[in-house]
Amino acid sequence: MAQKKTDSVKRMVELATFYVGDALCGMDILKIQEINKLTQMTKVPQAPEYVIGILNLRGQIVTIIDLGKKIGLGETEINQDSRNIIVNDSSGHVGLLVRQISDVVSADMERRESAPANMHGIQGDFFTGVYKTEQTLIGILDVDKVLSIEE
Amino acid sequence: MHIEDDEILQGFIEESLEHLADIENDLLSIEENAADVDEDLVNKVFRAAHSIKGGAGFMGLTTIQELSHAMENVLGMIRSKTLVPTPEIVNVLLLASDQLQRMIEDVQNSNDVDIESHLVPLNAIANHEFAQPAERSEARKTKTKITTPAEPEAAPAPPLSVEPAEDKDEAIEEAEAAEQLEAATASEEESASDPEDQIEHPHLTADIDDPADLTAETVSNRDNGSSKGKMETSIRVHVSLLDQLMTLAGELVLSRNQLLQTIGGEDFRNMEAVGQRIDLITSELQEAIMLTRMQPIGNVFNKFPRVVRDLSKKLGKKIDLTIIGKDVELDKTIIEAINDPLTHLVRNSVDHGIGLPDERRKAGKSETGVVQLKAFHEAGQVVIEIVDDGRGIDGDALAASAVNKGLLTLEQTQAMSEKEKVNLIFLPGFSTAKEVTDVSGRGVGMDVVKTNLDKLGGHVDIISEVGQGTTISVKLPLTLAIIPCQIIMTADERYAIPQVNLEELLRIPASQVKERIERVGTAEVVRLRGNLLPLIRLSDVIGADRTYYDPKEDMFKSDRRQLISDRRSQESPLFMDKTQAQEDRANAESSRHDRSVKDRRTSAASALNIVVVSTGSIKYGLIVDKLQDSEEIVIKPLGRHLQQCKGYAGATIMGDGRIALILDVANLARMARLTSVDGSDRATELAIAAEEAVKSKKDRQALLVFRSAEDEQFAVPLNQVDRIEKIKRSEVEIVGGKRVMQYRDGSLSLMCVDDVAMVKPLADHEDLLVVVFHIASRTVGLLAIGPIDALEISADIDESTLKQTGIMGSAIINGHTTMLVNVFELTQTLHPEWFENREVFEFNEKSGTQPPTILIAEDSNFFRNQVKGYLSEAGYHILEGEDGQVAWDLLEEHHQDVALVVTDIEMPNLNGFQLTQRIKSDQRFSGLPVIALTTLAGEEDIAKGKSVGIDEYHIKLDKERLMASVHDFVKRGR
Repeated sequence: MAQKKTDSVKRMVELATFYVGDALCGMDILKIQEINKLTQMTKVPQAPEYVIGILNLRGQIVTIIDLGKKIGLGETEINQDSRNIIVNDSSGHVGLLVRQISDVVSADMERRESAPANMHGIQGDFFTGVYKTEQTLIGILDVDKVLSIEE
Repeated sequence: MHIEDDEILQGFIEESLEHLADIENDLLSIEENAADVDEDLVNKVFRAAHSIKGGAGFMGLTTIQELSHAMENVLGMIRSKTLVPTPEIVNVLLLASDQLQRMIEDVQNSNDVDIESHLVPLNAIANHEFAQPAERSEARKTKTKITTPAEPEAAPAPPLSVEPAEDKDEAIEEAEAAEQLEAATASEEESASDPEDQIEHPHLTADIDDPADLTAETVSNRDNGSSKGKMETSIRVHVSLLDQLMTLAGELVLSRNQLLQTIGGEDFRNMEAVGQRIDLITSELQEAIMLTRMQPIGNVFNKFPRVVRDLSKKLGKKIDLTIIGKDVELDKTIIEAINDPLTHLVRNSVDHGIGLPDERRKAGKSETGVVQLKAFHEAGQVVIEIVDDGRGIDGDALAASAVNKGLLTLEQTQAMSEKEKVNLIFLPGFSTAKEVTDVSGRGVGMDVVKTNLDKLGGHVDIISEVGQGTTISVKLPLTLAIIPCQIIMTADERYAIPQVNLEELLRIPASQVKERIERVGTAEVVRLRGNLLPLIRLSDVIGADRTYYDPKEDMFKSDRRQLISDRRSQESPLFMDKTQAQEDRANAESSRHDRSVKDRRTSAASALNIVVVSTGSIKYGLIVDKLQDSEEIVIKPLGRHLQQCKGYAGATIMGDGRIALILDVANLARMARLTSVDGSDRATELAIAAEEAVKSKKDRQALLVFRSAEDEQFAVPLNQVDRIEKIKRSEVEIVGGKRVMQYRDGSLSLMCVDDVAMVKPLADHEDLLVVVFHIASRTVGLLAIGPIDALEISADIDESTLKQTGIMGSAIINGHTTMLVNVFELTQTLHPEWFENREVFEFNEKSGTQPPTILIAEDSNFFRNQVKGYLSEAGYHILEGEDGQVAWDLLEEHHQDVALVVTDIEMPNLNGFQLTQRIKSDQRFSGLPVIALTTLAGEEDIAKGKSVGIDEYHIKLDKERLMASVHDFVKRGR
């Protein structure tokens, strides 16, 4: 594997972690363009259920996806803690609404474990693995999968 | 091949393609000039070929280099006048330049392309032609089938190796050309014994026998290539424009700094100034950036000389193509998108429009047909016209063909106007040519053209006269990026509807909802000026919550009615069944509001706001909660997660930073399963309309109905109305004893009906309406109050009972006695000074011994008396006939006196068209001018009138224009 050949610094990935429902999830911080808490969304009737609206990010139209709904962890309530994680997508930016933002964790990707067997179903598909810190488990989100459009 | 530097290669490709684009047109002009060689032009082409050769040598593109070199040789000879550029030679050059272009577009593989078929004829020309131009042409005429190969090897192998790197030097080039000439002469001498062998080279003849085939192919190939390769990747922007952008960007940065400072210092007064500054810079920046997208339409037009030339050659026609307005600029995306439709239209003109020289001669036209391609600005749009003087489109033939194909029934076509018949060409599944040619007319063309242009927000129109020619005009918006839109609200969200789709805005007051909204099956329709318009509720189509807007509380409330005509809330508890009660509890909040108003069916909240939209052949009403302003918006695409939402064309950011979705009117109709009102439906509609017209045999008059006092209804002809403004009473100013208001940077003079006529005074309302008219080359406003409505009535006008100054008569409209206001008279009474210079005009008839006689043919007493009134007032002697036949008899009787005929169109016995036809075909009256008066000056009617010889058209009751034109004709007649 290519990863094994690279030195240990390269293996370290900064994971931005956040809560989706009650689950702590993480993703490579380099994939994130910004995190904001804009709430002035415009509803889009007819849109897929997980799209909660579109918002104006400095002149760009950003589609906001309720991450909880998308990966099957329940609807996310928009409140003081909720944030949009803006990521780059092939056709522009997409915002992922999460319940709360948590810390940035330096993670050694070598120590990443595959998703546990009991984490199956819809959610399981969206994770590439699990990272264990001293206190907790972080589900590593497969961003491309989250952004994909299922038929 | 060793291409190391991509950038240099890219530069070479771009530069070469540019050279090639010019070469084509220049070669065509060279061909036109023939022996009369324009040296500058040849030099230009020569240099272009030379630059390509130089660049190609440098990049190691040997094949390109070789071909451009061979071209250069021939061009060198043309330049030195040792070779006359005959069409054949130019053809070879054109083919070679096409090949060059293809190779340059696919540089990576260019070295593997076989260019022998181009090199051989080029070298043959270079070697032998120049010495014997006369024989050459003779040889060709005899068409000797000598197939001896011309030993292309014998042609001096171009001394290519010499120059690749250093040959930018013109001197070397000259030397080389000289060398080339020498070599050529030498080899010519060698083979002088048998020149024909050399000339009638198989490749050469092959090319020349059927050049169009090849070129047609190459043209289309090139189209694909260039539209992908050249247009999408990069764009040329003038440096001055870039500088301007830089300056603006710099200013923006400065303003931002200022803004940050101001925010820090909390200096609010300054903040406003900075805000304004940023506003200004932003709009300038936006404009400048839009400019970078503008491209001259010449980019598309420039290929047409070649297209027309090749096509006309192939078809054996003689055609002159004139191009006007190459500099007109359009947005890049539009330029790209109109390429194919325009090509199709031009090809159509050449293929179907212009006849063969023989045919044209027989028709008494010059053998050479003229096709004109014209671009110009008109009313904020760009108009492209393709005009030919060919056969024209025979509407009846089209209609017959449509019937044959089963697209329409005979009855349907009979009801169609000439113009509608011509427009049948846009129906899917139509081919006009008797034979299908491979040039155009596969029967799929025109409808695709129309669809494509519709997509761009464009509009196609055909005006054609059999035997005279066809004008196809295409109207396009300047840019697609910014479009004017009507903003509406539904379910507390804003939506934008592109203005191009907007027909009108309709508000049905709560009291009329029940009468005007009808149900046909499950569909709801509204009666609009006699036609049924299907209705779609926006919230239903897109699946938003049903709401309605309550202006009293300025909020949106959920709506539980199933049908528009249902009551929103029921007063009686008897109506409350269980489910409704539950629903009410669920909507506790809104229900309480519901209950607070007694019967909202008659409250303002129940009025319906309908946006009447059209797209292609579909027209429908969209029910929305609230109408807002129209705004210019910038279209932004939606992300891919929303691609499945077909109802939107995109989104835009509004002034407050929030987003509004742009509605796709065509897809909404599809989603609501509205069937398209296609050609046949339209025809049925027309047939019914025609039938009704025959039945009623009355003139229909479109009127604007309004009030001045609460209980007095007035009407004015709709076609006299410029526009209607809503104002507040406070906006009316009294200055110098006159009522005026500020209007479009000037003062608009205001009047009331009661200023002149003995009617009740203007109601004391806060909200007033101003109906703006254009009279005596000024604008004047008439103060009124609502409700206003535009409707079409059969003119059954009583012109005696209520007639007085300013009132021309009365009619019963919707159960109300309605007075018809004579705006002209009103204005004249109030502002006699406006008409002073006109008086002079009217009096000069007095110099004549006898007043000129005018014959009026009109079946409606009302209109006849009106017109008679105007005319006799101006001093004319009047003869009147109540139908065409009577008028004709009168004319026969007084034929030497009558100076002018003013006729209605719709009349019993002999209608206006027939009367005119009879007048114009009679020798005694052929010079007699005929003015037609009509209530419906549709384009079709005008065209029809022109064809029978009507000199001018006027709308009934438009006194001013009629009088001006009467004076004009009478004066001219003397």
